[in-house]
Amino acid sequence: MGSAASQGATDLALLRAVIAQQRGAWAQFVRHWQRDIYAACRLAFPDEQANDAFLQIVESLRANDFALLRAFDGRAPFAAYLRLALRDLLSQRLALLLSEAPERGWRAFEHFFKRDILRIIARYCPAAEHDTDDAYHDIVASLIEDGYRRIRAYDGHGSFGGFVLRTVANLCIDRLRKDVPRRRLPAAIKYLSVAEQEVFRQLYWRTCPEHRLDAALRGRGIELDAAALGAAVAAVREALPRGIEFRSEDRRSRLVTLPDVNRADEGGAALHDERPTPEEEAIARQHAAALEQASDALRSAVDRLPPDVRLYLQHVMDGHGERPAREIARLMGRPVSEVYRLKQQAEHLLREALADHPAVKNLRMTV
Amino acid sequence: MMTLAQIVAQLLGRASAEPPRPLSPAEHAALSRRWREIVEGDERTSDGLAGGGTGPDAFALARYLEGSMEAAERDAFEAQLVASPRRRDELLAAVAWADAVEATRMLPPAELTARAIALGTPVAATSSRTGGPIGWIERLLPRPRLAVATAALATVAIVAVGLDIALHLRAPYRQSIQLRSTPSSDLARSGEMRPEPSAREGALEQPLAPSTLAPSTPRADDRIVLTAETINALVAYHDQPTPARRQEVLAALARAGVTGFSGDRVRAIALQPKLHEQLTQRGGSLPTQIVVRLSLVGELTITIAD
Repeated sequence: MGSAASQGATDLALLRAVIAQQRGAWAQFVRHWQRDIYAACRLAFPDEQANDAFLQIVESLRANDFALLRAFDGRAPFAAYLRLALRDLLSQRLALLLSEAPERGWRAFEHFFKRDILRIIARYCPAAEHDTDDAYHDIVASLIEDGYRRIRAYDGHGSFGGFVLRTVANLCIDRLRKDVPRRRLPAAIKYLSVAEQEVFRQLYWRTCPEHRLDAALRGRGIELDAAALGAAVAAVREALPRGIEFRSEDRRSRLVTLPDVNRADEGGAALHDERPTPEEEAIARQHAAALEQASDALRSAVDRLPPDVRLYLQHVMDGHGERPAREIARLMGRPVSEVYRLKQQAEHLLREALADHPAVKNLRMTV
Repeated sequence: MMTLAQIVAQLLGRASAEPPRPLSPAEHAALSRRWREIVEGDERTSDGLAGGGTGPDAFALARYLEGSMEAAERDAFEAQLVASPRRRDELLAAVAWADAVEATRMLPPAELTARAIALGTPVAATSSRTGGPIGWIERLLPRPRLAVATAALATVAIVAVGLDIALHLRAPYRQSIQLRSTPSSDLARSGEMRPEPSAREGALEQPLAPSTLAPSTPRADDRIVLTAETINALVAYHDQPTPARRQEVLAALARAGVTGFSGDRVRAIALQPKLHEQLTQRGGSLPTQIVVRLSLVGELTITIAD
């Protein structure tokens, strides 16, 4: 019997005793698992709420005549199951707190999900750190807006944690698709404080209503009381020329670079035409078609891979090619040696499928 | 734009024709986007989850991560992961969470431990688990479709909390919950109970061919996982074969996944002697699966499957 199964059998014996309410079994259970439960509560909630959460979670484990414990069959160590079940229980509690006490709930929500949100952002935006910070603040602002509308849309189906991750992933996709070029602050705004610059962005680029400004700023990590917020708005309006308007980021602005009319040596120089020539356009179309065909070939090759090899490849690409083998082994519940075998198999199968593929050869010729 | 050769070279972890070079952040981002366009398409529609979908079942996920799944079950589980970037996100989050719990295990304040232990005061046995809170929840919720039927109870417990939340979050959902009906197990909600004969430890019924069964009596011939609840119910029934304990056995079997016949056709329950011996021994291994068969004369026999 493997060690996991052996541990599972041992754990099963204790759970049976608990369910049968044998004397001392419950106390033994608490003493054995309290560290995991308390650690989970501390991970999920800020300090002052973790202790309350601990007792609530212990009660949940007893709920419905030990329903959670009854389902355990000993085929894996109880620790593995318990930790994942705790995550579901705690995230459900979080959803309830967010509904009953939004301010407190939001602090707990961010405490619980920040690591997950950053991980998903990194998956979609593997860029420099400041871009990740911006993306995080954008995502958080979207979650906060309109009274946490997106989070409160949870209808009880499935786990709350899974719902949050899907929502965040969708927001990341939306953000990628917009792919708005980074705007430059007007010169007058650059001289204002960081908080006032953010007020400008929210009011003029994101068309945030003024009464929602404090929530939007909180999403950016900026806390201003009512007086300070009013002063910041006034400072921004005073800095801008009268009648100025800015388009929201939803409507793409195209900036046209004009020659500097004050430079004497340029005089009346004509604008440089940056449009491609007909020849360049034809080459670009040819390359695009070749790339599309080669992409189809890659897609077909990947579809034909065995599921475990394909999943290995997914884990590699989800980590942007930088996920170490031991981490992939952890994600796949396999020894590292088997991950290396999967890698070799992936290389061999893809090379076999693509090396002599006409579409790939054609693409190489167009590069 | 990245060439396919560069993309595949990056996928394989080493360069083919081009010399290897580190990617800039922008190239990383482009590579990721290109991979998704080529292989995953629009992630919103490609993950096969209608509406919100369900998160990974904690029990199945634990077994997957511990390498405890049978090969066929693991293949099916991984096929779901391959098809759904969202499930992979959830897998990542679950692993990161589990590792974080492992790394930060700590004792709670002694007072909390004492209060948690004090919760374990003996509770009166309920007359039927099919009534009361679980029966109410089962009547309101659809039976979850799970790869592992033994996790149904865990889902019920967690979804019970989710119900509470839904009632707070969305008023229209309240109505849909009240109108929704769930197919509940006939096995657990059988009709009148007959006087219970002593459990026989004699010869087992031979499995009957399907043609010998009346058309209205579906054959129950499934392997099911042996859960903690089932073990306790079988041992208790063997010690004292009362109608109430028989009902508990049927309820436990229903929750473990036995379907296909109604409980009122069960006249007696026979436990394989070897199975009873293994269930009650202090040490040694327990069987992981059992087989449940209902004979034409209404005797439910339970034997070791593996």
